Amino acid sequence: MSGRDGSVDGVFGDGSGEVSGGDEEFEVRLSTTFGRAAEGLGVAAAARLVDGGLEAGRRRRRRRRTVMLVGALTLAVAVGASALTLPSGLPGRASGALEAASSGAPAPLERGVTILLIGLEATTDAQNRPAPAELRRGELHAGAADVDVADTLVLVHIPAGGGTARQLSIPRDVLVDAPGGGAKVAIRQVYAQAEAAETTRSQGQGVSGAELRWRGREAGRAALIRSVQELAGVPVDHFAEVTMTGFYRAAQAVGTVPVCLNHAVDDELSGASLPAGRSELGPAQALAFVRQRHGVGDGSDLQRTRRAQAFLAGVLQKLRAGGVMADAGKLRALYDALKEDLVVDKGWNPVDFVRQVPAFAQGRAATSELPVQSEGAVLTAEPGKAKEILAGEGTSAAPAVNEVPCVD
Amino acid sequence: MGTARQRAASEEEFVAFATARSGQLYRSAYFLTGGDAHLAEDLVQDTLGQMYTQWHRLQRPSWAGRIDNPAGYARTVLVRAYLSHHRRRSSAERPSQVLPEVPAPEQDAALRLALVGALAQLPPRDRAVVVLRYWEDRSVEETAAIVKDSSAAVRTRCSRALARLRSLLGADLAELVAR
Repeated sequence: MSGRDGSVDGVFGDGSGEVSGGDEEFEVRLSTTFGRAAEGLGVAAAARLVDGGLEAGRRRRRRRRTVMLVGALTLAVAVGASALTLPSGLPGRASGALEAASSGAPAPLERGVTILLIGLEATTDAQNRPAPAELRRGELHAGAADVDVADTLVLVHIPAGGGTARQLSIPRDVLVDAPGGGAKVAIRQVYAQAEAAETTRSQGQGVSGAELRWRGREAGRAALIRSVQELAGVPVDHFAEVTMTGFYRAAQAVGTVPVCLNHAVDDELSGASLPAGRSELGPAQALAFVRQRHGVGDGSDLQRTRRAQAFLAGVLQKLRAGGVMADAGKLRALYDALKEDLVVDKGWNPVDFVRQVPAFAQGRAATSELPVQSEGAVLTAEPGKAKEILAGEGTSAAPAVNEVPCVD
Repeated sequence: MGTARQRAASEEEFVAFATARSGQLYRSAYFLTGGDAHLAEDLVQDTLGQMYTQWHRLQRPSWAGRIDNPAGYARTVLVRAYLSHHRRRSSAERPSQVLPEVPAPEQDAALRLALVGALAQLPPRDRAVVVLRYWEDRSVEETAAIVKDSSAAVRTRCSRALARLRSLLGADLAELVAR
């Protein structure tokens, strides 16, 4: 208690804008105190904060893309499941890259199947058309590159008998042997390098247009699969490649998605304005929901990942509820969206696909990132670690997501 | 969005911004956390990380959600990150009087200790309001927008917090400031 009890009491109940002289004096003094008490920040400390901020931002961006990738695969499963009613089998285009990369593959893991997911940031789609304008302008495509960059790489191991799927993200800057020999390169560059080499070669043979694009990408896929197999010491049984454009188109085709919030949000920064409880998100709100950062839990990556998982759970429920599957028009739109931007290996038959993918698409997957050693900016993988993680030695499962969970 | 060169230029701009603002953000975070230097650093890094992912929005047309005032935007992000951090961690709260090391043994160190010690006794939202009003010099309306509350609520909160601060360090403050 201060010595001036009377004026302390006078402060309570204020709000009329009427301030006594003593209070005003205290406010001025408080401002002065803040100014004098503020601690300076050394150059080294400031640099640490800037570096930490950059690192946090890059990590955040990567995380978001991984989530989109798994989302696109989820859509693909649903379409694959109903593909039995359609003449063409699996959605997407069939690639022979896996066969091309299979010579000299490491010995397989005990039981189960290993799938490589490739999230490709591409300037054009498989038909050689540029990405939609909304995408190029918007956040999804914030880091658009001039060449095809394998932006997200995830290995998924699904054990035989339906145990916990294990998901391993490969940092895109980890060093591997260059496809054509020579100095080591970051793994994200492997695809583009092999693609460029093949494009030059095919052009010499008079190939052009979409066919040229396809041949280049097939070479990119094969080289990338080889690099991943070598890095992880695990053979890749199947792979799926999706472009960010593909995810975007697929999300458009699904229509609204149900989510559930613990608290109402009104965040002018991201444009998210939703009531507490269950609501249906249109495409624009869906993006805001997944993007919102401020006031979401403790602001950590984990919280944002929960938002994204909740969104995926909503997508799944939407698909199961029959809204999309029963609607031939929507189904066809979804199928077409994926046909252009999803590529799967041609050995993956629809029945296996439908059996294998849901386990991890539903969130029943333990996720981790490949441990790396860094010397300055150079990242190298720890040998043997990937195999250990995928085989499930010493890791625990993440909780399953079965319906629309309510999130902060 | 464009070429590798454009991206590098944009990243350079971001680094320049982060370098220029990190000191101010850190000082605000230090007060917000009631003198927890580690948490303050985490909050600033997180805020800069969010700014990094939003940086391209500086180039957008205004109807598409352009960020006009990155410094103000960063301040809002920081305060909200702090408040939501606190909401989640409230069970683990320790109203501590144990303050982290203060590097410079200057004259104002005593003043700083007294101030953050008193701030640490305030509930988180009250503290945020006081820091925004008396350190950041934000108006009642601006403060209300940042903490997502009504102006009236901010006024009430503010006077309650002032009374508490005054009872905590009223006499001390006069003495320390006068010195």
